[in-house]
Order: sequence, then structure tokens, then C-alpha cells
Amino acid sequence: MEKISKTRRKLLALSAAGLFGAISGIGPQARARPDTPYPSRAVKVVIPYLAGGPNDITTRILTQNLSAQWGTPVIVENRPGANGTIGTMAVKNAPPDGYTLLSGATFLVLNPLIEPQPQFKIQDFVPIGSFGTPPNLIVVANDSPWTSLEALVAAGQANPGSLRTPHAGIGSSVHLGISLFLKTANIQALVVPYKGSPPYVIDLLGGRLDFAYLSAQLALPQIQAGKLRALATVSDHRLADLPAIRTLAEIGYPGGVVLPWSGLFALAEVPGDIVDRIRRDIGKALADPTVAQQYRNIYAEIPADPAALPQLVSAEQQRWQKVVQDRLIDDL
Amino acid sequence: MMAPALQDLWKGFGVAFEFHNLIWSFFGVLLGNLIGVMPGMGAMSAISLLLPLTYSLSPIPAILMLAGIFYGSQYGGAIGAILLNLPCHPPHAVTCLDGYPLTLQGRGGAALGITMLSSFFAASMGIVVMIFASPLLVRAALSFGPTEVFSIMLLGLLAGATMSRGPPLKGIAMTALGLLVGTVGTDVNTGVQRFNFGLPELSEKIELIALALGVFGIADFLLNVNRMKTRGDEIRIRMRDMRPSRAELKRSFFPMVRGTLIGMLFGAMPGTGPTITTFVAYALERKVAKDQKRFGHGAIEGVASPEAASHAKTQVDFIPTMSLGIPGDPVMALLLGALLIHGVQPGPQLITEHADLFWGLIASFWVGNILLIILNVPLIGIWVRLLRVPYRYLFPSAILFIAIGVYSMNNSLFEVAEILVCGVAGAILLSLEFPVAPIILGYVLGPTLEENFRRAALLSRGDLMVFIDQPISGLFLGFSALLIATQLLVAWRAGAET
Repeated sequence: MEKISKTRRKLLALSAAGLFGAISGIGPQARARPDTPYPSRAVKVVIPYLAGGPNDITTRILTQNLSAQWGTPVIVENRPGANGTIGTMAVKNAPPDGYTLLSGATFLVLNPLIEPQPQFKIQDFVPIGSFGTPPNLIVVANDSPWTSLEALVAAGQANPGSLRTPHAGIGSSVHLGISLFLKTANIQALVVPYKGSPPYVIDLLGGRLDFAYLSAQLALPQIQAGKLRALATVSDHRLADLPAIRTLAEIGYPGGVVLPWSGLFALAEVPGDIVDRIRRDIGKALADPTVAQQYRNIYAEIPADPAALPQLVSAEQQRWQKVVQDRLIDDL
Repeated sequence: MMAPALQDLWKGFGVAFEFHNLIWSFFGVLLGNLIGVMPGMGAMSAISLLLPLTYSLSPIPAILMLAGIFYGSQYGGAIGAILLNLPCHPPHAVTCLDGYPLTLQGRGGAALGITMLSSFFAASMGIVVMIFASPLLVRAALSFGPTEVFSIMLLGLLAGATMSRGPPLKGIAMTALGLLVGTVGTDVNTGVQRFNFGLPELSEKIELIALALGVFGIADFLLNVNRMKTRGDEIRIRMRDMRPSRAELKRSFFPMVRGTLIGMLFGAMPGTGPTITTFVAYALERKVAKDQKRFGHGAIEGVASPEAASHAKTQVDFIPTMSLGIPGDPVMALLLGALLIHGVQPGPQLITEHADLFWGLIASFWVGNILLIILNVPLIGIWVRLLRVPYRYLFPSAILFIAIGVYSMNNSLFEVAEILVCGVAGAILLSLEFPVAPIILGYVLGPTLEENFRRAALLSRGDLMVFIDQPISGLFLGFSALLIATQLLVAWRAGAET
């Protein structure tokens, strides 16, 4: 009894402090004193995409848990625009005190490589930890003549340019994935650009597209309802929900595997102990059964080691640098 | 077919009337209604703000509340447009055209009454369609490809280009300006930045709400700021003017029905926003009217039709979202995300696996809409009294609320600056007697037209005949040709007479 009321009092005090911090945190003068333990006030996490868009729900699941762990509000702020650059710049221009974090993804590595005048470098940020992200699947409509990826590839190779497939915007994991898959499978296909994935699902179901790279989050409900058919999982392992569907690597196209990922980033100047603290708490959050269930609900895969984000980022950095240098993707 | 649906609906009402659910639903529509009245503040920011609150709820009350915010926010939107020439939400910008003149004539209360009636009628019809024709509408949604969407939008653009009063040439010029403004941003096909002048903020297009509030509300304010007086002085407010007259009701009926049908058509086309819907509804209403000259001077039809269209579209939008599991716009994407977090699978199986949720939601639409109308009709009198507030208070407070509202969209000051620029540009255009509504029409239709045209042309591998060969598309292109022909004929005759 005693203990509960104590924690509650602490919680109340912390959230009051957080509220005060949120109010006073507008100006740059409001910095945490070095002697107070992090976090002593509200933490802001910038999602550089529209609410409801990619990375939004996955980030919110994490921040919800962090907020409960820390007893301070963790405020999600959507700052969409310029494929992640607007939100990223908002974090870059914030004080490096660990109270403004960024929900990052592939764009963080890719934009500096492809923008004519890059606004930020990946070195401006320190990777903290990764969290759940739904992988992509290769799908066809259920009444499609192709029942295996091999048959689809054969048809694509036999009639160059005959297959129609979408991408979800330049630089999206769908765009990168489909481009590299077509290259490694030696298929010439008609790639039709869309703004995000939902609109092309309609054209796929309506028979105007032949196949698509599609996030498991959108694809699995359709697959389970018998509207779409999965031909391959674009991941390094099979999905629990689709145990019979082989991975792209198993089928023989490891070069087409593009794994979307998301991770929390802080400014590079943020003190190391704060980064370590957040990294540890991300690990705790992902081990929480409620969080795990919520990620399962959106078909997101929880990374085996969330703390391995720095290695993941440098691997991605090397991969996309090579792709851009060798002009492996025409539109980049 | 009919009986089981009614049985399910009955059960749905049982769910919606459970105390817990009813309270959350009421909270949602109330909040939505408030947000609707606030200029610029959208359902989007409210829903994303309240999403964490729903984590501790079970899925049904959570979704009833979030959906309530969404359709509730539609109700308040017309109030600012009609009384203050201030389109709090872009879809209602077109309502300014005839709503505000009605206010100046002292019929603002009546216009609000008609708005509420058409809203309720259209929402109810939308719900009926959801109950009985969902599978049909889903099939329709799947058959609308880029080719069809392009042709329908083209008809909308042609019908709307001359929708404002004044010389048609000025209207067409402003539509062209709107089309140009719409090209600002990232090109979907190539990722190239167009007309962004090196500003990354412009890569995501000019914000629609900034444009709408700028060229309507702010521009009007800027022009009238020298005339510091009470609007209420020039407008007599009498209680008996609050109620729509019998003649007004009669004149509004068919526009309301036509607006509802247009809203349903656009609801079946995911990706076409509500603003396109209301502008097309207005343009069509003006085209079918016997006396087009009344439009722009306070024709009640010009209020009834777009308002009905907006509400029908809102309700019917839920069909592709709920039964296909494919969100039509960002708000719907957010609602689907909320369902997913709660472990509810949106998609084709939703109706069978979560029958209580689906039918409960539909029933709650009705309950919510009834609550909204009960809430709003008595408020009309209070809103109209707003006009008595002296202009020197009204103007700065409206600007403040606009700034807060627009800032809340993307937490960005840049968009607040956008309104100001749009406002100054709008004031210059208005003082040169250019109509501003066609700018918004061009702006919303342009990108949709371009995107779908290029997509259709890509899919057909450059064969433009596809627009004529596809039956639905061909039909609408035929209408477009007919429209141009009659327009030319009228112009030629007018020329011959003088």
C-alpha cells in the first residue's frame, strides 16, 4: 500500500514537472540541469510523416510505453514533408539535450545521398534503438494466373515490359525494393508511381496492376480474406502468419530484399548516458508483452537486438551509397 | 438480403446504446463539433492527439469516439463560412459563395438551418447506403481506376471553371491560376521539386487550408478592415429570420438530393477529397439551375447542395475504409491504425469477424448525427449573435484562432505565413474583382487530374484512346464535350444578339 502511494506521488510529481517542462520548453533557454536524472520533463518525439502514415503507429506504440516507464509525457509531433527532411530538420535545430528525439527510417540514410543540396548528414544523429516495423510482401490479386514467384518472373522475362507494378513514392522501401528486385530478377516491368501504398491496393484488386511490393500491414488482412495472394516474403525469415510463404532470398533473389526499419535517433551531441538510458528502455519496452502484442497486431517484426541500430544504420549507409553510386536504381 | 442487415443493425443499435459506448460517442461528436467551429483545426490533429487516450479503452468505444470526432467536425465547418466568410475547413469554402451573401441579407440563420437539415439528410442517406449497398459500392470503388477518375474530374473542372459570378473569362483565368498553384510541390512520378524556390516546406504542396482561409477569410478581412463597425448593425437579427422559410425549404430539397448523390459518387472514389466533392456539387447545382444569376448573391441552393455532398461523402468514405481495409485519406489511415492497435483487423473480414463493432459503428453514426442536430439547432441563434461582436474584436480573435488552428495542422509556422501570403494575394485579386473560389477549384482538381492522367497513360502504355474506350470514362468525357459545346453555343448566340 505504502509503496503504491509512493510511486503514485512520484508519478504525479514527475508528470507535473513534465507538464511544466512542456510549457516552458518552447524556448531554447529551457534545458535540463545536468544533475537531474533524465527525463525530468516531457520528451518530444518527432515523426517526420503524416499521422497514420508509415512509421506513425509503430512509433506511437513505443512512445506510449516509454512514457509509462519514465512517468513523463512523451509527446508525438508529426512534422511531415520533403520525404522526412522537414521533421529531421526540426530535430536538428532543437537543443541537443535529449528532449527532442527523431523517429527515423531509411530516408535518414538515403536523403543525404540523393538530394542535390543535402540539409543534414546521418552523422548529425546518433542511433539509439530500433523498434517494430512491418516487412513487405510480394503479392498478386487472388484471381491472378501466377501462383508462384518463379512463374511471375518467368512471365516477366518472357514478355519484357508486360508486367505492371506500383511503387509508393521515390525513396520508399517499396520503390527501392521493387527496383532492386526487378534488376536482380532481370525483369523489365512497367513501374507506376503512387503516393503511398493504399491507392495502389485498389488498382491491384481492380486488376489494373499485376503484382506489388506491399507492406504486411496492408497485405495480410487482404491475404487472409482471400483477396490477395502472397508470392514471397521480403525479409530474412518467414513470417509467423505466413509460414508457407518463402522469403525472397530462399527463392533466389537476395538482392531484392529491402527491409524497412525504424529507429529512435537523438542529436549527435546528446550526452552518452542519456542515449544509453533511452536505449536500455527501448529494449525494456520491446520486451513488454503488451507492446509485443500491439506490434503483432500491425504485423510488425520486432528486431532481435534493438540496440544494434548503429550497426544497421552503417550497413544501410554502405548499401545505399553503392546503389546510388552505381546508379542501380534509375529514379534516384 | 434486407432482413439480416436490419437484424444486424438492430443489434448494432444495442451496442451503440450501451451506456459506455454512448458516452464515448457523445464525447467524440461534441469534440468534433467544437473542432469544426475552430478555423483551421482539423479532425486529423484532434484524432492523433486523442489516440493515446483510447489505448486503455476497448476497441468499440475507442472507434466510436474517434469516428465521432471525424464526422462531428463536419457539422461546425459551415458556420464560419456562412456567417463570417471564413471557411474553417476547406470543403466548406464553396459554401461562402452563397452562404455569406445570405448572412448579409439577414438570412444567415436560415442558411445555417438549411445546412443542418441537408447535413442530416445526406448523412442519413449515406448510412442507409452503407447498410444496404456496401458490397455494391466496394465493387464500384474497385472499378474506378485512374482513367475513370481523370474523366470525372475533368468534367468537374469544366463545370466549375465558370462557376463564379462575373465575366467567365476572369473565372477561367482564376481556375488556371489555381491549377498552377497546385503544381507546387514534389512531382509524384519523378520526385522532382516543382516551383518550391528552394524551400523544403513547399515540397509538400501549399497547404489547402491556408489557401482557403487566406483567399476567403483573410482577404475579406483585409479589404474590410477600414470599415470598423459591427456586422450586426448592418444585419438585422430577428428570431423569425432564424428559421428557413417554406420557400427556402422547397428550393433546397432537390439541390440537397443532388448534393447527396454527388457525395456518394465521390465517396466511392477513394483518393478524391471532400473539397473536390463540394466544389463539383456547387458547380453542378449552378449548371442545372434555371436562373444562374442568383448564384453568388445568396442562392440557398448553393448552400444546400455542397453541404449535403460533404456529409454524404464523409459517411460513404467509411465503406472502402471499413470493408476494403484501404484508407481513402490520412484521417481514415489514422482510424485504421487505431483499430489495428486494438487488434481489430480492418478489411474484408471486419463485417463477419467483428460484427458488433461494424454494426455498432453504423448505428452510432445515426445516434451521433441525431445528437449533432439536437446540439446544433439551438446553437444557431448563438452563432448568429457572434455577428454582434464589434469588428475590432472579431477580426483579431479570428486571426488568432486561424493562426492556432493552422499551426496545429503540422506544427509548422511556415503554414501560418502561407495564410498571410494567400490572404494578401487574395485581397489584391478581390479588389481587382477577380473571383477567388475558382483558385481553390483549380488547386484541388489540378493535382488529382495530373496524377490520374499520367498514371492512366502509363498503365495504357501511352495509348490515350483508353480514356474513350473505357465505358465510364468515355461517358464522362462525352458529358464534358457536351458541356463545352453548349457553352460555346450560348456564347455564340449572345454574340449574335448584340
